[in-house]
Amino acid sequence: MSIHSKAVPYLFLLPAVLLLLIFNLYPTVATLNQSLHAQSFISNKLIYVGLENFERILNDPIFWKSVQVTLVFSILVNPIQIVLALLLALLANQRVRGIALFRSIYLLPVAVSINVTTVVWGLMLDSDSGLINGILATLSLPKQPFLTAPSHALWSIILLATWKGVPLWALFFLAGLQGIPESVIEAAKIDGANRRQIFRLITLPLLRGVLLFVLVADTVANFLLIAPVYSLTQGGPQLSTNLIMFETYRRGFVYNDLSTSAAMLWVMLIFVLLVVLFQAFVLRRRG
Amino acid sequence: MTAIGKVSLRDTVLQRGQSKERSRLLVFNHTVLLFLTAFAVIPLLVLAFNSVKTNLEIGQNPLGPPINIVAENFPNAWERGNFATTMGNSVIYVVATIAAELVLGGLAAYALARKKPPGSDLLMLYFLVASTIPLWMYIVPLFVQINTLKRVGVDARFLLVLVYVAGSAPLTIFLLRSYMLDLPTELEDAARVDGANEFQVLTRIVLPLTKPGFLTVGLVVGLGVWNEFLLALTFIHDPNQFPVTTSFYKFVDRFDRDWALTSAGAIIIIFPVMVLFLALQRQFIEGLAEGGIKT
Repeated sequence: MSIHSKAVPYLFLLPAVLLLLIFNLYPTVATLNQSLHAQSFISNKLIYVGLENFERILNDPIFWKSVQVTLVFSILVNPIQIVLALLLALLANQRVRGIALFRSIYLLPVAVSINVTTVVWGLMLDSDSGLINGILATLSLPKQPFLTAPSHALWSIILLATWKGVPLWALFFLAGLQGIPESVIEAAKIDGANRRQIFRLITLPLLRGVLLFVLVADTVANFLLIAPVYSLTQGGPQLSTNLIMFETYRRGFVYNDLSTSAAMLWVMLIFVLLVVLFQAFVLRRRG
Repeated sequence: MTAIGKVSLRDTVLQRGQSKERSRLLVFNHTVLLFLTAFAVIPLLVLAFNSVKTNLEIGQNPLGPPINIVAENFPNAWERGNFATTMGNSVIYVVATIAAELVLGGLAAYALARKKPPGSDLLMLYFLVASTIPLWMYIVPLFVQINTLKRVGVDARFLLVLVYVAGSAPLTIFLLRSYMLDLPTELEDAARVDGANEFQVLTRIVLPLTKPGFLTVGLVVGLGVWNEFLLALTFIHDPNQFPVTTSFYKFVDRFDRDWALTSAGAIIIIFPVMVLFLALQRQFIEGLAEGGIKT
């Protein structure tokens, strides 16, 4: 009986662990191995080169440009999405007439795939016939080269990511808000707290867990974004939307340099982990 | 007496301030609501408009409402996108992935939430790291692996589902575990006293109580599989096994895109998900709320 019951939890864990071992851990480690090798031109065999691939990346201005683009993108897109999502959730959590309909409507983008999102926004942002330029024209404002100017393209990617991302993260915030007991808010109101105080002193602290989750998940999701860059800008114009993720794709699958691509992915993964741990650390300490 | 007077005075002052603040807030709220709703809905509206126009009309009037409604776009898109096949395939992939994911994730989450065997912390750390590893990171070795397994005779569709399940397992286990941690243990103990074994405790007690959690995970995972494109295209080579996302690319050739059919095709892909999503919306939000985030 005791041997049996000791084995049970491992038995329950076995299928998941086995599957992850085969289809996640093994290929991930294999990528690390690839990053330490180079493809031989003659025999198609892998030759061990140590950290040479990493050295090459670190001396590559295109890589550093993509790091810069990724950093600017992250610093802009994550706060924009999180603030808007929180705002949306706060509004949707009110007891106003018609709020259920509103919730259903703003949730719609969550169901739309990134491929469809990209096509629709490509249409909206078109320089000649796009909707946004149409609106600008009626306001007698000049047309904007949304996807074709280095100064605009990254903002267009941010816009698209925000359209798809905000409702999703708002959903998590809304769930968190609904978990806050009404009595706590009522008590604060009786003590004379105004709305701003209630938000700062009660709502926000009670949302800390959700906030941490959304912050981390959103940061990771935006690091991994590739579809809109792939179909709308191909990293351009002038590398202005060349996010690291897209650069690794280009190295690996357009230039067929899988070893450099793998090394770049490792650099990025370590970076993402550092960012995520930093976020977790800061939020934990605040609370 | 004075104390009561003070309180009531403070209350009236507060109320007056609040009502002014309130009406200003209401205007602000409604403006923001309206703006956000428009932001969410306009792209979809454009898509819906274009799905019932001819290509000629889309050229002349790419964004406004249709002048003549061309309903034939839908049967045409259905035909050319081979939706009859791809939709069936996607339903199979989605259902199989959700089923496997919930069984596997449920068992693992239960073990981690309740049994905490030695090594649990390490495993949780691995799951956390694994959930941040992008697919690009390991798609090449995975490709080699899958090809080897296919050569041995394993069905490509089966492998695809396994890859989907493995891909979403870390986050699934995380979420399901936090739902289970929220449950009081008394019910489970009572069942054990009554002679239930671990599997019965899980299926009879824990499962019914964490149903919103399972629903949430199922919905998120299912949505991911329905919209997945890259893995399916990498591993599936038989057109009869293609998922619904591949149909979306049947309306583009080297030089041009058939916008009318693209739009109709997009609506066909989105529609079932949207209906399901709206139907489950309430339960979905409740599911998320009960999960909380525990790490």
